[in-house]
Amino acid sequence: MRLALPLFLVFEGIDGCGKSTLCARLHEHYAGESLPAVLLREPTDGIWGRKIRDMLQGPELPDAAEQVRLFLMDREHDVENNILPAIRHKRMIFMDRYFYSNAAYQGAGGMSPEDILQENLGRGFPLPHRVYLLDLPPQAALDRVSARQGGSKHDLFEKTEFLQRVRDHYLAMADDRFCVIDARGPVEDIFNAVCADIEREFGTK
Amino acid sequence: MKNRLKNLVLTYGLNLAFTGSLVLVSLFCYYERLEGRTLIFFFAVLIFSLLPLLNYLRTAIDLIISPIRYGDLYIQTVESILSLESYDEVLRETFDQILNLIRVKTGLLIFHYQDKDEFNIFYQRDSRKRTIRNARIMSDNILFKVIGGPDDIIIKGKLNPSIHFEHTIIGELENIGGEIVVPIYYHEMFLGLIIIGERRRWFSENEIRLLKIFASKIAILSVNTFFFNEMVKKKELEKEYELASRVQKKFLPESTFASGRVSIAVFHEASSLISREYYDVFQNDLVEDDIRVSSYRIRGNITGTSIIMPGVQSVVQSFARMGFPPSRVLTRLNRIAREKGLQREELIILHGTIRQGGEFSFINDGYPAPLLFRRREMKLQFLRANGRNATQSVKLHPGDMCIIACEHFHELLEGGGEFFSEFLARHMDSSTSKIRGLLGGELKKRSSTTGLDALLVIIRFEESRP
Repeated sequence: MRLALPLFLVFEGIDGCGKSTLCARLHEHYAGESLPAVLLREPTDGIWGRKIRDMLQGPELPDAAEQVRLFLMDREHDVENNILPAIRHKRMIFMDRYFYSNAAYQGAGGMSPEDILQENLGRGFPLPHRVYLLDLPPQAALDRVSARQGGSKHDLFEKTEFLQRVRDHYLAMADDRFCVIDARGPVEDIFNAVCADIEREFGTK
Repeated sequence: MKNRLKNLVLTYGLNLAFTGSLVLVSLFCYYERLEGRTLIFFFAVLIFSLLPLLNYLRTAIDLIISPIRYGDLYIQTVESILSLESYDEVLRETFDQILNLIRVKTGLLIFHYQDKDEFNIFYQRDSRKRTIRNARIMSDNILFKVIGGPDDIIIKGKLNPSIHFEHTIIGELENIGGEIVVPIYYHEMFLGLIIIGERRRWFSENEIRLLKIFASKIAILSVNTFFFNEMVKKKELEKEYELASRVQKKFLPESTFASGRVSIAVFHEASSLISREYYDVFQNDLVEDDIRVSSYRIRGNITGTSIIMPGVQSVVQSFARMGFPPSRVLTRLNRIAREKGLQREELIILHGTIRQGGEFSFINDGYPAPLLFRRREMKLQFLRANGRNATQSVKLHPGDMCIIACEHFHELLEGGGEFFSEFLARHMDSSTSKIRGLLGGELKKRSSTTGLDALLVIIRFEESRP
């Protein structure tokens, strides 16, 4: 099976749904098939991305508008330096979170998800070819995070009620670009479902 | 024919009897040699004493004649209604028969069509017959003004020309050549007027009564004919529905399907001849490892539904066979629907693809999202519906079932999650078609809604076979 490149694939979902594991697995799989695969993530490891990580791990969060501003700065840098070059070189991009995360999370924090999407599109950030939304009930996600952190207390974002709102925002913005995947199953199942969808949507004979 | 002969015998027999009795009296006078003033006086007394008797006999004969002839006429009229196709023909026929009955050569039947709010005039003068359609009749016509109910019969001879109001009515009747006006009413509804022209002989009370009866019969027959025609139209429509229903059934695939480890069983029951809830299951021959399932509901009228259904099916099948994933199939379908002016809310659809590995991807545009029964967990889960055409993907494990249900079945499954989880757990070792029957029957039993089609599609990923 050959794929129509470039392919910009975004993976979204609430914390603990298995995005990072899946992205790494897919990247490994397609790179192993000699496809020019690139693995990216947001927040990035750049200057703005580091600021965001510090912010998220800090004792207090700035207001949602300020959070969005930081994410936009980080994304501008990421688009210019990573995403657009990869698209130009016809690569297969596996992106762990994109602006949909902002719309869902900061939307759950009180901002309008629609406004956040418009702000990002207005800045000319490229639209992905496909968004894989790993859908998981918040309680299941929190259990996973808790197990991963050895039973440590959850950070600010990882609260059931908040995550439910985030999940609702994700599902509400899911349009025909989205593929919603039931993330309750094992990683292997999710991996197979994504591969099958990539083949169906972007496969060429 | 028999009645006619009897009528002739009775009518002319009375005159003959009267003439015969006069001849007998003359012969008696001749033999008794009565002459001069005595004879004239005798005849005067005789004639004056016989006239009341003659009148009495005439009335008695009228009473005998009219019901018989009326009965014949009524039967003829009913028969003519059954053989006639148009409402107008019934009126024309009945009116002709009335004029023949009372032996009048001139008459008018003004009939008001309630549905179209227009007047037709059936006119007859001597042997000339004419029908004036959509006649312009002024609503302030004096005849309409004076008639307020079925008993308001106007007889020209009884009107007083010295009274201005009645003089105006006489003038109007002379204009149209009418002698008697009988209104036609169906309950409170004014339907028209029967206007009878002049006749040499005066109109008896019985004839006027007969006209009144006929006016009411015309009203009843007209209303009956209207319903009769409606019934005929309904019958024709039913025939068309039957044809459409047969065509639709041919488009629907078999209710059971099996390929490799995927087995599908469908419970489909239409509440009427034409279903509004449809399904399709087919192996996509042109794409490797691809079974397609569709469930859709078409809202709107029956004719529209029967036309749209094959269209939707062929569009979905065509694009699927071109290798399009479900999302793109529905995008194309929506585009075509928009181009054809089909309202979005008229069609709700779910379209999905299943692979032999158990991957089931679907997209539901308004149609309830499927439910998932995990064999491992023995629990019915609800896959979330997405509002804006997102593809949803789920991996089925051996023994898992995906249930696509129409709206009211979906609500029942959602409301009775625990019960149906146990229900499915209890029957999970049965065949897919058996589960289909049991679950469909249970849902039907619990459903309080009537007049809705029922659709249940069960997709099962079977255990691997050795």
